[in-house]
Amino acid sequence: MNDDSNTEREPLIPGLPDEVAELCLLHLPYPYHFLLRSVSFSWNIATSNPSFLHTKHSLSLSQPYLFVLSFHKPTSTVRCQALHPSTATWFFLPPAPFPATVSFPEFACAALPRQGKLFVMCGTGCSSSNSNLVYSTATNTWSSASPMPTAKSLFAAETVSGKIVTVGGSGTEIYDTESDTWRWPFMFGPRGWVYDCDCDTWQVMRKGMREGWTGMGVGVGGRVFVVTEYGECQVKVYDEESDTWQYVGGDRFPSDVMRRPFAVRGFEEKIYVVSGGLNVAIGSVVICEEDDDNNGVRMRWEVVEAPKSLGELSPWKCQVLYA
Amino acid sequence: MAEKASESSNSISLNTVDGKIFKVSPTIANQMQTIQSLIKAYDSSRVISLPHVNAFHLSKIIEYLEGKSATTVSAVKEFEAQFMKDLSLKQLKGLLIAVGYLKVNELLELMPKTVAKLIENKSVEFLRKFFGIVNDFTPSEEAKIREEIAWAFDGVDED
Repeated sequence: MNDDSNTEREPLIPGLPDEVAELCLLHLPYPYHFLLRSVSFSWNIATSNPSFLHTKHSLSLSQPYLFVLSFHKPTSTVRCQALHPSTATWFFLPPAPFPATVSFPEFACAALPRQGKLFVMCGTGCSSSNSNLVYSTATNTWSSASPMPTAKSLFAAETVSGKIVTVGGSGTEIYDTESDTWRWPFMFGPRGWVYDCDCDTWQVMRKGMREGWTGMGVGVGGRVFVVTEYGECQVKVYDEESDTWQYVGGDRFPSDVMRRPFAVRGFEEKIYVVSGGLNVAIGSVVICEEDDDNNGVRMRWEVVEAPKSLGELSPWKCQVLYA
Repeated sequence: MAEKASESSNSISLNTVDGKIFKVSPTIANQMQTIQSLIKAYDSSRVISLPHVNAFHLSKIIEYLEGKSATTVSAVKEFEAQFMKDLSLKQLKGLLIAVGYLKVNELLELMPKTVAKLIENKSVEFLRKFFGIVNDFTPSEEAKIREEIAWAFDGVDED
């Protein structure tokens, strides 16, 4: 049966031309089409072909999913899950080949949302050297990528123009996701600095920005927001002109269902906050230029409550990917 | 030379494979891409033969194209849902072939969605039975793939 010639292959759905049958499979939401690989040889070939995901993208059938890496304290293991926000459905991802022992701050995570790729970089303290992992929604598998030039602890990562910038105590490095190579621009570890990716330089963070940075920062629509980590976790937005932070208008943060620790991510005009037990609050950012209060920024929050079975999980990183 | 348009206005006649003739308005015909290209090839007075479409399928397509011109979005949604609900799996497959041949874009969007909804979260065994698909894996191939996607088998519907 392992004949790759197209002519010999069984139809995807008997009685239907393959191109029409494939349309039906393309409409299956992620990640069901992976389950369907085992239906028949033809289904396996059709759904694992890279062109399948490509077509899915071009027909705008891909949707954003929130990928959450979390820590399960009772077993000291890392769990990987994906949430489809509009249907509030959680999916389990194949287990990532993480080192046997892990400790929290020594991982960082970045993503190429449109390509459906999630990068996890392991820092110092990982038992199996500093390997890096890539998850792809196209194949729903983990694979390894080039390790960082220097092992890091207490570091962070972010995607900027298709490149991943990692920042840690031992320096900043830039990973080119196309060529799977690392570049090492400078030697110092920033503490409250702002990196300009176009100029490739770090500047000292301005006083107002630094002092008002009282929580977890995210960038949405060219603005910097902070979800404060005390009290009712109000959200603030930074105003570059006056170097001040201002509370946003609109809904209050749903702090009653959200318990710390949080993982936070900004993506396409939305702020995603994952809480302990994996309740997710999704805040839509609405900009009204003529509104002078609150810097013209309002938020509308929706909560996706997690099933009880996820109650013991502490979120650690989250990323939004198209799948 | 300007000829007078025939009395039956400018409706288009379609002949199905089982020999039934349908007269449709240009608005309806324009939503079937294949007909559009056939109109150009045919002399307008002649009947267009559709070798791959039977009367039932064509009548359903016309029913859909006429029905979805409802005024409100919710009325269209309701109509579409009922339209799909009335079809058996066999009819759904037959209609999909006709729709694919005639290139009725809106149905080519709607119908695969319906099929996908039907099979979402179903077990592999259910799907094979549902579509009459022969399992052409060797046992070892199937075991290997099942192992790769073992995580995905949690939480599928009972057959």
